[in-house]
Amino acid sequence: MDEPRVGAASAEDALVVDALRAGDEKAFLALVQSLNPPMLRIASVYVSSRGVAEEVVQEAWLGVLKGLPRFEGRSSLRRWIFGILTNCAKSRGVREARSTPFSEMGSQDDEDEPAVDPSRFLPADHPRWPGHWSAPPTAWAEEQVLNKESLTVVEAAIARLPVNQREVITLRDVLGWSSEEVCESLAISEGNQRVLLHRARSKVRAVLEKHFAEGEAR
Amino acid sequence: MTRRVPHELTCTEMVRLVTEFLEDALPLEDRTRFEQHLVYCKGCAAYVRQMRKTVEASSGLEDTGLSAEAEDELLRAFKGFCK
Amino acid sequence: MIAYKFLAAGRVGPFTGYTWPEREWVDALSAREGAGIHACRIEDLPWWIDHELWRVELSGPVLERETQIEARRGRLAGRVATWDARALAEFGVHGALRARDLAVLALGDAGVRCDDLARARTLLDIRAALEALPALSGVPAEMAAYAREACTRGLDGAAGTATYIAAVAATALRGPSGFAAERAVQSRWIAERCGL
Repeated sequence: MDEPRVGAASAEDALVVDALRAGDEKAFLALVQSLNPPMLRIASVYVSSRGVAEEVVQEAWLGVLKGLPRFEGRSSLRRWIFGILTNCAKSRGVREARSTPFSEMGSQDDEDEPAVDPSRFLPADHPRWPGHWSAPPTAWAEEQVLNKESLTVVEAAIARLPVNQREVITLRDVLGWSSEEVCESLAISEGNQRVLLHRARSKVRAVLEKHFAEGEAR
Repeated sequence: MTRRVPHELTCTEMVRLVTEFLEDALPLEDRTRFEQHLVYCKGCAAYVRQMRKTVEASSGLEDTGLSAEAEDELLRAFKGFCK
Repeated sequence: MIAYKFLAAGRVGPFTGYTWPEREWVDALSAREGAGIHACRIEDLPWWIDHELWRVELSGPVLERETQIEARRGRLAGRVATWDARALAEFGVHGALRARDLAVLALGDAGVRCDDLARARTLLDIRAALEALPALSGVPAEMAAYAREACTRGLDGAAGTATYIAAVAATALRGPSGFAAERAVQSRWIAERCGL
C-alpha cells in the first residue's frame, strides 16, 4: 500500500528525490499518478467538493515542488508529501467554513450517541436477559454489501461524519493505512484513534443497516 | 440487576467493545469472553460480521486520480521549477 | 499433546478467519500472551462448538487457561467425523431437553402439574406443553421461559445458544455453580456422542 512509512526517508526515496531534482519528468509523473488517488481522498476529508479537492491536490504539488530543494529526508518522502497536502486541505477547509452556513458543515462530534439504538436491547430489569439483544441484527446478503449502491451509501455516510472521525476512518479503512501511521500522521494516541474509529465505523454500519432494511421494506 | 453469570459480557458491552476486538486490542481475558459470547449469541455474531463487512465496503471505495489535463498542468509546473 | 479444536466450515478459524492447513504445523502469530494456538480439553468443548471438530497436536509448553489451552505450535491431526451437522443439531436439542428438565423440577417444587411437559419427546411437543401451562410467576415462570427459549433455539439449529440457555437456567435454579455443572454435562454428552 502507498501508506507513508513511519521513520526517515528510504534509499528508494533518495533515488526519487534525486531524479526529481535532476528534472526527470517521467519520475515526477509516476509519483504524481501514484499518489493522486490517496491525496484526493484525503483532501476530500477536509473540503466540501471534489472540485475543491482537486484544486487542493494541485496546490499541494506546487508546495512539494517549492519545498523539494530543502527536503532533508528526516521523514519519508510520502509522509512529507501527505503532510503538505493535509496542511493545504485543512487551510482550505477552514477558509470554506468561514463562508459556509453552519448547518451545511459536518456534524459535531457525537460523543454521547450510542453505537446502536438502546431500544434494540433488553432493559436492565429484564428478568432473564438484561442487556441482550431484543431486536438482533441479521445477516447481510453478500452481494449487497459491495455493490455500487452500497458503496455510494458508505461514501455518503463517511462524508457526514464529524471531521475527526472522518479522518481516521478514511486513513484506516478507506486507504488501508496502519494504526501506527495514522496515529503519527494525526498526532493522536492509539487509544484516541481507536475511539474515533469505533464511533465512525459504528455510524457507517448503522447507515448501511438502515439502507438494507429500507431496501427490504420496498 | 446482578448478572446471572459473572464475568460474561452483555450484548450492549459486545457492541461497545467490537472495535477493540477487531483491532486485537482487548486484554486476553476480555477477548476470551468476547469470543465465548459469539458462540452462543447469533445477534452479536451477526453484528461483528456486519462490522467486518462495513470495513470491507470502506476499503472498496474507489480512488481516482486527477484528469490528464490536470496532470499536464503539473508537469508544466515541474518543468518551470526545474529551469 | 492431543487436544481438540472447533473450526468453521472449510477449516476456518471462527474468530481469525484463518484457514488451517490440513497437516502442516502452524506457529503462533507472535510471542504475545494469547496469540498462540488455542485448543480445547474435553471439558472446554461446549464453549466453542462450531461446524467442524478436529483433533490437534500441540507442540511445546501448553498453557492451561479456564476454558481453553494455548501452545506456540499446533497442527490438525484428523477430523472428528462423528461431529457432523447432525451431532451439532442434536447437541442443541440436548440443551433444550435439559432446560425442559430444569423447568419440570421448578414446576414440581411449586406444585404445578406438568406431566405433558415431562413426557414430551420432541421440541415441538415441549413447546406445546409449555404453552398449555397455567399462568405462572416467580421461579417457575422464569424456568418455563428458559425452556421455551431453548426450544426455539434448538428448533432453529442454534445449538450454541440452546446449550447456553440450559446453563443459564441451571444457574437460575441452582446458583452460581450450576453453570459449570451444566457445561460439564454438555462436555460429557459431546464426548460420548463422538466417542472421544
